[in-house]
Amino acid sequence: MTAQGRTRLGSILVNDVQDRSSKSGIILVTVFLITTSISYIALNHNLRITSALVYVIGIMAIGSMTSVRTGLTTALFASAFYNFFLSEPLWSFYIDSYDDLMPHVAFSVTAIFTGVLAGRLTERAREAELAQARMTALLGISGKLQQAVSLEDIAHSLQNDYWALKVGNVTLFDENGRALGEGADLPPEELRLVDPRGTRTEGVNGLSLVAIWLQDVPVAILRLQNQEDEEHGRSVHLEALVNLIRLAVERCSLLKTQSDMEILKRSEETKSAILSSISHDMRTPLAAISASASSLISLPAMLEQSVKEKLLDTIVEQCARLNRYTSNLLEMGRIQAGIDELSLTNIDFTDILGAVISRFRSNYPDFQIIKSFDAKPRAVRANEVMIEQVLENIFDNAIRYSRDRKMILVSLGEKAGQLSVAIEDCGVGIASHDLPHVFDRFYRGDRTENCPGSGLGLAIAKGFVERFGGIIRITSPSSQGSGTTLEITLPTSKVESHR
Amino acid sequence: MKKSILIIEDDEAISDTLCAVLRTQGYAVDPAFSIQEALEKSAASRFDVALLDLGLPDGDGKDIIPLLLSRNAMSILVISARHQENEKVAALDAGADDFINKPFGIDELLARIRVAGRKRMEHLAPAPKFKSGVLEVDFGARSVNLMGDNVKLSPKEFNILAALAASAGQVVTHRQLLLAGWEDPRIDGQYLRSYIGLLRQKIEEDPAEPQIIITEPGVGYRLALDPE
Repeated sequence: MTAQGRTRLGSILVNDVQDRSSKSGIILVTVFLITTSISYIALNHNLRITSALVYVIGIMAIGSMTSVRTGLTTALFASAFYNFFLSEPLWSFYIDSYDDLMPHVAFSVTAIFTGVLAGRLTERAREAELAQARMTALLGISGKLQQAVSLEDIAHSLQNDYWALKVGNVTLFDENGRALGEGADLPPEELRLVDPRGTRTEGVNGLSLVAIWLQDVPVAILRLQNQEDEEHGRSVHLEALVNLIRLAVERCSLLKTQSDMEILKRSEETKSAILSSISHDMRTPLAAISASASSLISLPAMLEQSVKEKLLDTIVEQCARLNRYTSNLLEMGRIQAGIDELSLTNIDFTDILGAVISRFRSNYPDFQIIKSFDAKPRAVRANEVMIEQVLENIFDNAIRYSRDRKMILVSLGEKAGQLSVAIEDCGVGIASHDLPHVFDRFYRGDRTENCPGSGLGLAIAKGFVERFGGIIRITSPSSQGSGTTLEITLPTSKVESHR
Repeated sequence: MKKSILIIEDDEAISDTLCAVLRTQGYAVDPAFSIQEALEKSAASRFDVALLDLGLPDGDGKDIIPLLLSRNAMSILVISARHQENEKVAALDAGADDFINKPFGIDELLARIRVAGRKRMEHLAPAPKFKSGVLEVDFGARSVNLMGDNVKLSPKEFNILAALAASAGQVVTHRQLLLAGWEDPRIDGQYLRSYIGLLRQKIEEDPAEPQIIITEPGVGYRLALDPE
């Protein structure tokens, strides 16, 4: 049965009880009149036993329809009525003969017993019905609350379902009285009423407030605005409802604590993985530096001049590697911390690209860098230093993964508000199974084994480009052979013409 | 006479290395390991150039730039990490002459110190013109010659190029160039970029890959020419 079905049943039961109270009077009177008429006719035909039995049946009928009290009252009233109006002598409580007394006593006693018994039966049945309705309603609430996985879910189902069921308004707040989901916060004057120890406090107009605790910490506040129908009571026990909600809140809070722990644990794992990767990547160049420098100090006489020079070159190279590595780590941290909007300005992409190409050309004179673009300024909204870093990381890869064909092709164009730059090398390329992962942090493909690196360069490039609203794509093998093409698309910014 | 250098750097390894190397190059070198010590030493003697590390144990190195300059017309060379472009700009606008990114090669540092030392001499007697192998800028006559040919520049273009040439070899911040061209540092940097583009069209062989007016990302521009 759906929750809606259940609540509809609840409302039917409620209406039923009300209907009975209003109609029972009419039915009672009708039954009484019919019985009296039949009894009267029977008496006129001198059928005294029949007359009395008919009356007993009538009382039983009334008792079965009403309660013990009404049954008893009807029985006593009917007994007196029978005696006064129907039995001989008429218009008197006096009983003629002993023969008349016995049926009368029997009649009265039977009437009283049947009235009481029938009434009690009806009451039991109604109580059972009510208990059934309460159970159904509680089950409905419980089922709904079982599905909740967060305090917000609970608050949501409390708001959206027909929870009234004679309980009134039920609202859940967090431990500070702030609304969970839509709706207003708990008013401060009500917040003051909440008993911090967790017992239910009653306010005016049937208001009650309960703080729900979990492991010595309050996690939520439950507010009940009672609209109890005094006559018929609630169909759901308030305490039972509070307990159900308390259980759900405790369960959801535990779930949250558990998932928080899980997240924390996972981030700790990530951190230690990163740290071990970092220390490994730092130690390798340090080992090379240490070996070279200590050789130069300890064995100066035994080393040939060419070897000495080679060792010195190693030291300088490895320092550059360490530097590149640490600045990559720093940039990674910058991406994770979030890049401030203030650090973005309109920059000339062509200018930065030119500067990077120029620097790589002078650092790697044996590389051929072929440009196919003009010096026209191309404005994008970005950060100059970060764009420089993106381009440097890409050029750095292009150079490190090139073997015999030392050539890099750079093209730059602008179309429909998008600037796109493509940097293509003729290097070793990337294995197809590595391609989907090259932008992951610390990921290094199969073909990078002989080449030191941190696995951060492209992750940083992607992080920065995406922060500037752009897209970065990688293709390998590139269109002209074995190498790799990195393509970046960035939205161009509108710039007024210069003064 | 030997040029004197004050090295304001708290890391002993770097300071010792720099002292040793710079002495072999004929400089008189004095190390200071804190702001306190730097202020004491700069009060006691004159220096031509100061190498200033921005992160010092007793404060921010850029805060003492105006004080150092007020005592002594030295050239200040800021040593900073690459990503601290805002720090660099602040130091340069506070009066530092140039910066060098950590870690640096010794050749680069020596070149910067040479330029800074020369700049210090020019402070004392400003040159009427800038003259290098390819480019000649006459500040008085407001004329520019590229490989012997006269280059026609608009007044703003000339002002910007003159500001770069007056500090040839050193970085000039966006703010300083906006002041030179527009006399207003709040002008949109886009205008400056456009003018740099125009200048490059006129004096660079390949404006898409400039060799003369170099971009220092996030900081400014540098005229990469040595005067004769």
